[in-house]
Amino acid sequence: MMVYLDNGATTPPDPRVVDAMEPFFREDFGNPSSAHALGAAAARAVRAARERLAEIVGAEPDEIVFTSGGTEADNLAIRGAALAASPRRRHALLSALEHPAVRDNKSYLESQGFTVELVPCSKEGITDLHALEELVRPMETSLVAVMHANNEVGTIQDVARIADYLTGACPEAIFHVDAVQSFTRLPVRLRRLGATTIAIAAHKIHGPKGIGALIVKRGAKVRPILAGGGQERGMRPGTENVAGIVGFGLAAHFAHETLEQDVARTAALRDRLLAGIHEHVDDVRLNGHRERRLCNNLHISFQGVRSETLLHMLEESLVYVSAGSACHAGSHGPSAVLKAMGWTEHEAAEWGTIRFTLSRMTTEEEIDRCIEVLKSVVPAARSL
Amino acid sequence: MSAGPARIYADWNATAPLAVEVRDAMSEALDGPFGNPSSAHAEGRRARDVLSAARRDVARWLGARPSEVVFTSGATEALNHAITVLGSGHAVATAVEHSAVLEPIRAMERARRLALTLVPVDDRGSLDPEQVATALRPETTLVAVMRANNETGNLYDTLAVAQILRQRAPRATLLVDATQAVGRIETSLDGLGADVVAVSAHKIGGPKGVGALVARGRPLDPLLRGGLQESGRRAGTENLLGIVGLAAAARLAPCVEHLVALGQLLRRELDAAVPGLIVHGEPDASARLPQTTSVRFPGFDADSLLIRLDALGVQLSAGSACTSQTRAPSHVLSALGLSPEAAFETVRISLGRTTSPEEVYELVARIARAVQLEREAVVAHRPKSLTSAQRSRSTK
Repeated sequence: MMVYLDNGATTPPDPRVVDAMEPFFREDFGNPSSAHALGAAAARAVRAARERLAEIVGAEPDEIVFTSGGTEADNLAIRGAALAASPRRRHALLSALEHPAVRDNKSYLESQGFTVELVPCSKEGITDLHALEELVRPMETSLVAVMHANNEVGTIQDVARIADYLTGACPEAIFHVDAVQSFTRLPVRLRRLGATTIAIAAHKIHGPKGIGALIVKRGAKVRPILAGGGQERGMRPGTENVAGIVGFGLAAHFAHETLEQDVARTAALRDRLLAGIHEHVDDVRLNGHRERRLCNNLHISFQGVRSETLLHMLEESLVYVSAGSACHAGSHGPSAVLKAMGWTEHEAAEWGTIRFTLSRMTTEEEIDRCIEVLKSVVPAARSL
Repeated sequence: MSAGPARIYADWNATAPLAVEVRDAMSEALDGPFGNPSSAHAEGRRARDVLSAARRDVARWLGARPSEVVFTSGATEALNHAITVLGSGHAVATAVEHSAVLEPIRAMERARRLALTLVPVDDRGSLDPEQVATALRPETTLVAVMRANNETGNLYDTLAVAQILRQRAPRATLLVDATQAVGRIETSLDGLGADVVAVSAHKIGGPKGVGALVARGRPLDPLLRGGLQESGRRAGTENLLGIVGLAAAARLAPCVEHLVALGQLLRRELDAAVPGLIVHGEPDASARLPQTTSVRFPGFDADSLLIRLDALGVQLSAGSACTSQTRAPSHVLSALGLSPEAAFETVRISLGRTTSPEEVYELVARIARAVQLEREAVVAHRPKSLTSAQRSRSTK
């Protein structure tokens, strides 16, 4: 039995989503920019998906910009904001917990004359609001990025409160929220979160890979980073990935439809996993915040094991998890997120971390099997 | 579906139907691994294996090494990527490049990061490689010459340009947009003489939303950052299904002879059925894409013809799909010296792999029918005909 608990990396596609994409690989293959009937049919499908997604995120259809995924959406938000920023506003704040798709643009921002500062967080991975308030420069800050829920440790940030503060203290700043992990696991509504831009991706919610969106509030000063074609109202040129967009719209629809019961069920399964680990495995600790965490995330450290060792032993029992996030597979030392939470090299060497991420497709059998495997694998790994 | 006439699709340069072989490969992939190729576990590794196999196929297809292939979300991203990270100082581009080349260069020009020299083409759309040489400056870093034009089908001798660059600007990058050339004429990195090549899947029977940038001997900084995918050259979880589709399209058997035959048939039939047509571009068949025909119907508004044809079940386009929403005349046709009037009377017919000779006959018959209907309508409603037809467009 395969146990897939790496849904933070990617999720199995919903068969209903795949079925809905089929026609766009067959008869409905038109280019939405074409003026003829086939083009019009493709354009209608894109419009329907856009409207569907807009409703789910509480935005207008023209506030949705389809991209090739979450990474492009984050890049568009950060670089697009930098391109539009006035020469006097060259200060940006990124939370220390940001995904690399945001954080790795620090050097780009600096090449554009920005001063970039990282907003620290607590040991539990909660962004320090006081520090953020201290760091904001009302006359200079043009960009603040705080992710909704962290991809590694799953902590949820009080995005709405930060937005409130920024509205008063620095209304000109663009407030970017990476909601790739939180979308359909928490309510993600543009105006309720108070964000200027929000990044989301389909393959984290049982949709296809290669499609995502940046939600851009009307009037926001964000410029495109790709040029050449008027698609997405000039914000994102290139022939639309019609099948992907259709799949994304539907994946969001299905996820949103059953959000409340899925969240409750997933959280219960996660708690079952945590309880099982506590019961059967010694010397473990839960990283991140106990309550303010995603319903599907468990980030656990096991004393006296290397996470790679544990990962491979779990894998041999067909339990698939990740050491941190898929994006840093292969790199060493504590991840940037754990470092921001105060982890030392020594701690990282001493405590092997594993990220378990569930989805609405996760079953009780998978959880129980995972506990059973951990029960034997962790002591075995420790005795190596 | 109504009982209307069978559809004839003649807009392959806008996008192509998914090839059956591609669909089969993608269906198979859907039953394969769904993992994230960056994941360390077996499910990720299986996805990574699928990715590597696809990369090998695409590399072999273009005569490149697998390590030279960077998958992107399409040709637009590939071209933007190359231009953004490789261009600085001064760039040279032909006047007929796709807007996905010209627009990013102009954006960099506005940001004062480089200056652009456009190289003109003659009234047949032909490029004199010596004119590229004339445009070079000591600070030229980027030269963009497309292999095949999307509107006229003209081919450009990128190899001759490469030889000029080798002598006079060895440090400049030759960027070749091969989006319309691949799958239609023999295309390889060596044959193109290119340092960097951009291709797209959906023009050649693959899915939309995937393409590739192939870069040789050039370290390629990422445009999209935030992950080590594509050897650090392009961040973001790979569009595995799309990439499988691109690889399957790359494996399709060449169909050059079929396309050549179709193109010849089309032109012969069209000439016979609708006298007075003017075909744009290179008259020498070996110097253009076999399946692309840019043709002017003097006295007829292209948009009106297209609407009639659409009603007759024929899909084609006025210029490129990318510019169908705008009312400006095509920059490509303008570069050939066509007046706006002439440009607005021009239609692009583009055929493909599964187009049959029977379809070409039927296509021509319907075009002749549309022209006839349009002529009758103009005579019935607008005695002063042609010029008023044009006026009605300009007020649209």
